[in-house]
Amino acid sequence: MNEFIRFYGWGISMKFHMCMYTLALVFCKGIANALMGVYTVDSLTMLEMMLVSMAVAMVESILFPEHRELSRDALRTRSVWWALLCNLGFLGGAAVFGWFSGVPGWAAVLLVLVLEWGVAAMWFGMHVALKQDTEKLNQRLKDYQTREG
Amino acid sequence: MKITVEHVPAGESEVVLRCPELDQEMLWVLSMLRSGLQKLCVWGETREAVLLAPGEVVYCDSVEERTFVYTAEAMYQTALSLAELEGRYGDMGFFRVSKGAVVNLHRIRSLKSQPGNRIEATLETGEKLMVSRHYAPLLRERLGM
Repeated sequence: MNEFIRFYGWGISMKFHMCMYTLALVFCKGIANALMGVYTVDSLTMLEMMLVSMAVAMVESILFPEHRELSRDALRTRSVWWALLCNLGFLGGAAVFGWFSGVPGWAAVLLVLVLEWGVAAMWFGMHVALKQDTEKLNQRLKDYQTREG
Repeated sequence: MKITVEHVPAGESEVVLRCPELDQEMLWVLSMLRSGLQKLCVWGETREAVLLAPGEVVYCDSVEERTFVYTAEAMYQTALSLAELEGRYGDMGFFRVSKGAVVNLHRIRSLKSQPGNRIEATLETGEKLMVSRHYAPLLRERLGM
């Protein structure tokens, strides 16, 4: 039962990240299509984006296990791997499935920049913002326990 | 604060707090006294009633309309609902973390911020409870954030 609950918890967390990546890709695809005068996104393309996002989210959950504290060095190494794999997944997916074929050169550069910014924002959210929030929460908890204890 | 213990030959034991106003220190003394008196009635597997000090409780959860109380050593059942537990022992650190669980804030070892505005609480027993996104802002408020 515990194993099932752990697996279920992992699934929820992984799917949460998968959804964020899928939404970002579909949003970019929508913008790219709109630039070319198309105002729809193929459901098959969305499925491809979802599958690629799932693969990236799964790799991410392996690189950053939720219930394990990583050392500074391990976090740095894994972050580099994660950034490389994110780029490989999203840029590779775009190239293999031709998600953004036909967009003007400047738009392709802009999309890559948006991707890099998105990846950096995700990393910041996962490892800087959450970590700082955790430190603050624990400080306040200790204060509460001392004050009220 | 001056503490005086008077020994009387007979009669019921009595605690009298004498102060010009109920300041922070007196409120703390009052809550300590209340927590000592407000024992929680629970029963274990043998259905023998046990009076627990609220401070001993690590967390409580509710399964199929039954409320379970967990201490560091054992699991008990109580007739009180989670809402009643939170209402009665809220001043002593009992806090609702999800629809199905109340945790004693004094028995939390650490907290971890999670994506989606959730908080993972690691209890003294090593067990982990998730503070749902509905209750996480209330927890932050309770901790003075």
